[in-house]
Amino acid sequence: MLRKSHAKWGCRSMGRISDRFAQLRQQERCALIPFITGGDPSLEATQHLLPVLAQAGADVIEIGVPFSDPLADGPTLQKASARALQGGTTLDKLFAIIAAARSAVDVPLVFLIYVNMIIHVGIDSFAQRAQASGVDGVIVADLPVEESGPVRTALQSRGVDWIPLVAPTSGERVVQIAAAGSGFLYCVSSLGVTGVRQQLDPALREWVNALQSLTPLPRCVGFGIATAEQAEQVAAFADGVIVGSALVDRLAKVASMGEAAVESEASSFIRTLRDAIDRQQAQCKQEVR
Amino acid sequence: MTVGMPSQVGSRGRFGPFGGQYVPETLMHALQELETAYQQAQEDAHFHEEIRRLQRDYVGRPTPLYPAEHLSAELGGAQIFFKREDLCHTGAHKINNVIGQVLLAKRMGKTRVTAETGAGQHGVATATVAALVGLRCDVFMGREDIERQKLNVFRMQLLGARVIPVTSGTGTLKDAANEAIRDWVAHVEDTHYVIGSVVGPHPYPTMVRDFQRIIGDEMREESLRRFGRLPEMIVACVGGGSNSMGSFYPFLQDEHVQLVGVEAAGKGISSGRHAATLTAGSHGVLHGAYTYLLQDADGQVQPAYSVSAGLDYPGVGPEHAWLKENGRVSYVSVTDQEALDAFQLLAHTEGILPALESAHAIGYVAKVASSFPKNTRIFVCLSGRGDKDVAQVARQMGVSLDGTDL
Repeated sequence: MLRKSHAKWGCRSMGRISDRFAQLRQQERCALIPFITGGDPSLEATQHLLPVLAQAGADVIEIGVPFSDPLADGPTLQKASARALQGGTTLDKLFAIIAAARSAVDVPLVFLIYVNMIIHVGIDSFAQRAQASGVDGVIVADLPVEESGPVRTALQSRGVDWIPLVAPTSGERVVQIAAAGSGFLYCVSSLGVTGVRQQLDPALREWVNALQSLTPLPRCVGFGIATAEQAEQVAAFADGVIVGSALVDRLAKVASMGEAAVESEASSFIRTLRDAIDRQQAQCKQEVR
Repeated sequence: MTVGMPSQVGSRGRFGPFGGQYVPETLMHALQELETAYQQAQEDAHFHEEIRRLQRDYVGRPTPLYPAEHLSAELGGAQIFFKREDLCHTGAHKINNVIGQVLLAKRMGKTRVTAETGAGQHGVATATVAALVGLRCDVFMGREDIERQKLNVFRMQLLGARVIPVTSGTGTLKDAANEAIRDWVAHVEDTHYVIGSVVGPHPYPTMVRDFQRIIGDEMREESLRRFGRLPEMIVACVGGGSNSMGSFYPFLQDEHVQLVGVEAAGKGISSGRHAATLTAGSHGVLHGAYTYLLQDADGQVQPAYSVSAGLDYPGVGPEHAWLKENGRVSYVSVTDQEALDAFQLLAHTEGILPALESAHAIGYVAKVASSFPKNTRIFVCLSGRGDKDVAQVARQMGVSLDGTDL
């Protein structure tokens, strides 16, 4: 959960994301960050899901930009990416639905994307369109800090956060990574690709706690969090909980039943996670008293 | 489209603007560990000695530089020589790189190696050296390729390797590489991923080139010894580009030696069904490197096509991208049909069945040899033997091999 010990969050964070985390810190609440693949099951569904997720308790929403070769992703998100591409999803269309959804959604919206798509449209052009359409932050799955200079500078100079990933194997690199990033720090819960895990790594808590002394950025944990129970566990020590494959999997299962079914599934799952996280936080406050 | 990453030029692991390390954060530690281990190994005389010994006694190096007199006479013009990598143990140059990487993996205390493979040559080489050195070996191979290359699949299994079918994406070589990278992300502690070409994130393109430069070093040494001078031209096929990079690298400073890389034009560049990445591709990132690749208008990677499975790859090594842009190497392309014609020409004139990959290099030479005077020497890297391609060639010729023991 968010602790009040820091005078201010990530000094380089600059917009909706830092505002949202500042608010959460005031309320001593942990952020809930659902992930959906843009264009899966359809572009319209993605546009309509954004306010549904926000209403159900999402603090930030991650939108995956589908790519032909998603090498950081497990089978669930690979398939979602393939479905979205099959359905004709493009980066252009995703920018358009973000812009269209912006009036109905005030939670921060973050892209998860592979670097080839950014290079292909041109780094500056990408950053400019991200800002113009209302994308608040960008996570690049295959862009380590050493290679991030041009992309990071282009985004940050336009007020769009470059949200870096750190892994348990990052070691001392965490300091350099966190210093370069803004918005929040995406903490990869364990080795491997995205996807549901039966159990979370027991060393996770210790690692995420240790990160606190290295960075003022909120530490949000993702990769493998699938159940309310796991979300509750992670909320006890992280500033945010990211849930991707589990949500995408649930939506895929009801996709054939139509958009209403998808929205109701998304809403009820996010509410369950929200309740579990808030329960943990209430308990924690009580213990402090 | 050409959109560079200009501020990265000249940094670590770059060839001009190309190369770099575009990988998930989880792999950065493993790549740094590999780079350090490789640097240390390079300074260790014992490591080099072990490689030299295996190259000589196990692979059969140095490979001959064979004067193809009958082919030269048939074509008229230049004298053509073949660097006989097809005579290496396991039938191709692939083993040069694998010996280096597997010995390095052993040195690093890894207990398991993995590889991606298309037609199966790199997979067989990796399974072979893993068996020799005593490491577990898993080979990722597209489901389509497994069907088409049953013999190589069984060969790898005989050598004790597991062949893991890849169904994601297009189920071909690029997806096998994606899957090998995903596996590595999850098993970085005990596993070394043996990349089969001069592709992938730094330090792979440099390391694989260093392990393959033996091809060019031997060409150079023998040329000076036999003829007292260097050849006028060196020709090699380019898929990912390891046999060509190994052939070209020792000659990069010799500007009077013409270097020609031959890509697969498949059904023809204009048909859209080809694997000519440098000829018809554009800048982008594939498998961790900034290079040329085949992609559509939205930056989605496009499947490559060639009659030769080893050239059927939508990317290319980043050093080739740089050698194209700085003009040191010329890159040309040869169609399926030209390669198949060259395959038969070599069979008839010299009694050699070349790999279909190598047949592309020969196909180019067949087109240009007659335009050179007789005192011109052209060295062609005959990167592999064609036994593996006999069934494919029969299919292309419309010959049925049902009931035979292939």
